[in-house]
Amino acid sequence: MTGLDGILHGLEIAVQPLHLWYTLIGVLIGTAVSHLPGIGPSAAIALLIPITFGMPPAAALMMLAGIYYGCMYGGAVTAILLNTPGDAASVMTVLDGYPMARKGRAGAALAISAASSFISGTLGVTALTFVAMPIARLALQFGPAEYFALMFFALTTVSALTGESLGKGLLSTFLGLLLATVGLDVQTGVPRFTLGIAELQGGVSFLVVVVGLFALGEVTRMAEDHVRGTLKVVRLKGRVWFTAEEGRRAFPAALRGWAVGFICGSAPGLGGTIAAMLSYVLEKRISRQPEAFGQGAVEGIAGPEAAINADACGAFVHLLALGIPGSSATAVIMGAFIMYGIQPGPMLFQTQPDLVWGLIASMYVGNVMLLIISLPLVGVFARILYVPPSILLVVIVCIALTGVYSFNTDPFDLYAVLLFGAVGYAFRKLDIPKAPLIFGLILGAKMEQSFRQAMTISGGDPAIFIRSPLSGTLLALAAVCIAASVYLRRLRAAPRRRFRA
Amino acid sequence: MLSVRYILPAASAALAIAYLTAGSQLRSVVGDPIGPRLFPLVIGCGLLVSAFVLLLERPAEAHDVTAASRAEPAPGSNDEREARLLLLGIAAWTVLYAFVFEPLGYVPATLAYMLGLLIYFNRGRWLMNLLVASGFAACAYVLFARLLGVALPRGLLGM
Repeated sequence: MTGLDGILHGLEIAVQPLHLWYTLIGVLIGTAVSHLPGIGPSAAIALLIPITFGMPPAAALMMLAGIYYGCMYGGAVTAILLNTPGDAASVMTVLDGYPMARKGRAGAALAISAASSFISGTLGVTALTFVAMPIARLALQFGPAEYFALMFFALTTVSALTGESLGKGLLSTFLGLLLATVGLDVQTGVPRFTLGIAELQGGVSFLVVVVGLFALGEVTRMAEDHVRGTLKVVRLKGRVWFTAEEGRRAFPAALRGWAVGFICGSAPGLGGTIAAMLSYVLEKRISRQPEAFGQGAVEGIAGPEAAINADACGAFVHLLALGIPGSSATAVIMGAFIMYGIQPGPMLFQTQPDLVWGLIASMYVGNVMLLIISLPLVGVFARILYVPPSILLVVIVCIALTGVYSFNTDPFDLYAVLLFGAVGYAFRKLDIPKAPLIFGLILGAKMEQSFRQAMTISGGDPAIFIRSPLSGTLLALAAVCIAASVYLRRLRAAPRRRFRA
Repeated sequence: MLSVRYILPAASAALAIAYLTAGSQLRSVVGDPIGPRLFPLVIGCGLLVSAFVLLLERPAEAHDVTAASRAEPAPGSNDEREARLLLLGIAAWTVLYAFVFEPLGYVPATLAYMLGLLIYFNRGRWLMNLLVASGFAACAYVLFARLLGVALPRGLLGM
């Protein structure tokens, strides 16, 4: 089945009434939840996974995907109206979105964001359609050594390129891998690191870790904001649309942002934040009026917002074609796949083509839904921002606890999520990135399985990982990635040290 | 007094040593030459490497972009102390909630939990707090227990 055949078949599935309904619910929920400052797509998806239990897997995944790109849009709203990024990736949108809102052009800023997201999302899904199949076919030739090397490369990029510190990125990654080893060993049944706690024999719950780290970790920030005082919201007035001149400037910026974002999304671990930053820097560099950036430049909104959406599509390429998440949000979605008993990866295109093509096609449909509903309803969704943050904080905590309990109906999970909430707080205070931990947790079991299979095949000889050209190349690229991150960090630090001297 | 810069590498190294010690005691299984021990030992070594890299790194000169975009309270300030006390209070209240969750039942426990938090966060607005707490507990019960079929605890009051 080619990409075109697949997507046409997928559209037949995606437009079935049940799937349309769940895609719409996902898009609405994602847009609404993303208006909560700091609740990014990872936390939103993790909080809402429990409500998908009992649904058909295809419909549930379409809804989760809808939540994902719904969140992409909503993060811009808080950036524009509240001067606070809805998630890390929207931080660049704050720079020109809020100044534009302060000038009374909040509606135009929101419309530019929505239109750029739509253009980029549609192009991104189109690229996903034609890129995923060839990559999946290549991945079918991978053996255990190649798979181990691929996951090693993915973990290396995410730990080396996320955050300011290589050491903290590595620490986060290895903590995730450590958590993945807790529980009964799948191959031998030997209990590992369970500390005598019966509930840990099944391993550390992925949902508990994600909800604790992201959602409860964010609640601690909201509690600190409460202590310092409430945030000022720009009230939305006037028409939610942009002028012809603004549209003329935004469109090419959105196209450039799409290209930057999709390339970033194709490398695991780079994430929407880096994509948005690169897009912003590019727009400022090529602009004839760079001094306008930071004062409400249209390109400063269109480019980063397009990059964020394209990055999300690029991350799906990894998830569906290789079974490796491309971002922390797709890592959470991968966790959902596994919870539904589905293993994402190249075999999925052969064993469950209806599911994978239906999911991809639903992303086209979801993008159209977002464009149609987000602008007329932006005034409605923006009211979420006017709800006292103190009430939102309490509601988020209760949603998190209820959702986590509903998974296993075990009060132990309530204590565990609290523990990981404390870990999320510590990570934030110590500037330790969370995404590498999630990557390590979700890939750890598969990585160990590949490692042990490869070592068994080679009779215990680790040279198997470098004998294969593909495996050796991936390991070499991982080493280059670490060296590059050390070099780039030194370059960034050098001007600051010269300035202080 | 130990510099903060050394605490994180020291803690990482301590965790690595504890993990390696526990990992080395895992029993091998006949017929599986690689065994359940090898991968954890590799991870433990990785943790030691992380601790070493942390020790070698210069202290961060700028926070990451997300932190920089939101001003964090200065360490040791009154705001920071008050925030920590608040978080400890929330944690203790949540532990109590988890403790009474099953005996009391979902609806009464959640209602009491939310009211307790809202009394602090939304002071003086008794009616709004009661409406939010009872509304959420009821809606969540309907969504999870009735629509999704999750077995939420019914507790002493049977609800």
